[in-house]
Amino acid sequence: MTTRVGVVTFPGSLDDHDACRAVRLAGGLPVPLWHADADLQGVDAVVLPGGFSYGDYLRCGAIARFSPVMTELIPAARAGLPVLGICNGFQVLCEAHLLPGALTRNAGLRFVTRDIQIRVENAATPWTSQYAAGQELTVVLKSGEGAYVADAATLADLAARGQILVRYVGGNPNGSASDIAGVVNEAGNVAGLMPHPEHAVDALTGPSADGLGFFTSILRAVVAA
Amino acid sequence: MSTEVAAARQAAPQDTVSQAEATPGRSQPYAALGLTAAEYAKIADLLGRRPTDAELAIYSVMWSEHCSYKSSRRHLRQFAEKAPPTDVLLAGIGDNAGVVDIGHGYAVTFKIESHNHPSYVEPFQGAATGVGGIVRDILAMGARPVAVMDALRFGPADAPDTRRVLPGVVGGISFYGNCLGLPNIGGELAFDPCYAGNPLINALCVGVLRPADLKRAAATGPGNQVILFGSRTGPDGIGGASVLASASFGDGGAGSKRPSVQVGDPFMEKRLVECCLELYAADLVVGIQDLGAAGVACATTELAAGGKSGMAVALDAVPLRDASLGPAEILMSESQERMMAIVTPADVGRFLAICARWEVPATVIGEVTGTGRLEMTWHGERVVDIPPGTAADDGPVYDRPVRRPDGQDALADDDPARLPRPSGPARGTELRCHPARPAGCPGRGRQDLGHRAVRQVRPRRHGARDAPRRRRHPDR
Repeated sequence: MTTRVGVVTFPGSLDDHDACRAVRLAGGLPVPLWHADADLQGVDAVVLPGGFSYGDYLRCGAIARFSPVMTELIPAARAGLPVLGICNGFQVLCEAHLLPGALTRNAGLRFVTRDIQIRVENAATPWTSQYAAGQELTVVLKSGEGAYVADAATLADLAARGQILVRYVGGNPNGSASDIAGVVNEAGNVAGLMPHPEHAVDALTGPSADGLGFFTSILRAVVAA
Repeated sequence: MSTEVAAARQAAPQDTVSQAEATPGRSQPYAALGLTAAEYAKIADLLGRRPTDAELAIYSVMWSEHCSYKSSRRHLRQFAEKAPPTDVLLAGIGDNAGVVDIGHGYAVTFKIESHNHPSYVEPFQGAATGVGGIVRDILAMGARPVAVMDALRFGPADAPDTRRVLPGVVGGISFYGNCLGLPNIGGELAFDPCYAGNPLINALCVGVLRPADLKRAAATGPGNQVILFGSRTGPDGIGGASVLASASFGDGGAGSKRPSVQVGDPFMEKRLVECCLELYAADLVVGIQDLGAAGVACATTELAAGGKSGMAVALDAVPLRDASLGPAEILMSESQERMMAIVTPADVGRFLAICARWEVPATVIGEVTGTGRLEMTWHGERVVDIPPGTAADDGPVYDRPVRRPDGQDALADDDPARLPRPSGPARGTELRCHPARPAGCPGRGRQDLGHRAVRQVRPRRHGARDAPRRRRHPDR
């Protein structure tokens, strides 16, 4: 049976379409989920896409975290449902306390858009199993509030427990602590990425097809489970 | 302003059609609204009486250079007259944007428009709303907006005024486009003393559609409903209407302090885009027009004139952000993120339900009639009754004196081959960069480059040999 991956659309979501496309190219069935429906439609995994949910007028992700779909998603994620938050989705997961730390204004205080290199630090999670540890990927970064911050103890714990999923290499584009580009929760099922793997799924439209691995990883993990 | 004052202002007697008939000699501030005595006389001639204040508001904005192109129209017309016949141009001059059939079942629509003066007055919001306006033009054609571009001209790079205007313009364009997820796929930037005090801020938007989904700005089918949707109407961008308000109320009061540059809300625009595309997909739209310059006045007159029909509108039904606005101000307001659609009565329920799903306020404010006249009421009193074509299409056209510029011959004779050749490969790149930001060109890297599988032609870097290789993927 085809793996069903939900992609949430909040008002202001921008990359829901590309996230659906990435799921499809990886071999899964994208299932659009609506922010106002407290219903996950029995999906096997969920992607929270990039964008400006609810305009991000209060604080990135701060309103989306209270949306009806999140009232279902938060307990499901705590119970093991695989969830990937990309960019704004990462911010939503931090606001929801499903991931440690927070995303703040870039060190340069300006929106940054460019292709960047990231290195897979932990290839033993459901979202990264198709990569090799240490593998470097070229993906797109496009964010104004992408600087990952956490207190020193949390950063030490993240490093010790293998919760640092990916790091920026070849320069830190936004001042993220420890060059962190993505983290995973302690259980390994909830991941957050600041760069956009869904924009790097084929050579024609992206800087590479390196991002597809996150989506093929989760499909494999769901089938194996 | 207190609610009591607002209520009093709203309830104040307005200049009605019957009053206009009864008081032919009443003086009106037509000159302050930018109309000449001859134009004012022409309005009275067309109507057979003096215009009401609300009608004067409509004609003043619709006959402005900005909306009617009264001085440039005879020159611009040549683009239509001299264009070779083609069957790939699905929409052209006179429509909200040009549409070209590109084959394979797709058409593209694109339009470039300037927002120069607002951007000079308030760089961030002026430039941001320039993007918002051009995106709604593309949306009004029935297309999904997929990318933006910009072309900017400023005075000398080291002039204090350029330093004031440029960061805000770049910030406004990138802010609004980024929030809509529209990649900025290219642009150009130049500095020249001739733009000092008059920067040129041009924004372009590209959209993609199926030819069969092409929408028109025409109000057809008597009985069809007129729905205003998007942001509520506020006092922004009213400009000249405050002249009427002040004239009516004897003080500049609140009117004099209103911003003349519009304020953008890209989050509302994003919902409006998705809402419209869902409405189109459900085939619930007979005709549609975006609200830009001249707001409700422009949308109603152009829809009615485009459909060669009539329209009856209750102006007091327009949802307001500022309860004190009167009919003339509502007509002229340039509040952003608004659209007007013509919908059959049977489809109104489904239309409003889709708007509610996207949390886009939508209100029925009138209906299409067979009278051939645009009629508007304010709390039951008739304040507008005009043939819509006289405002939308039959504005004055001027044949201004033309003269060959003094330097034109010298310019034409100037052979660029006489110029010294650049000696190093990096030189051109250096020149394009703002001296205030030696690390890179202003704007570079601040704008979303990729979304919906749309990618920009890669920015060129020092010595880089990136061939243009990104193209839109036809996956939608």
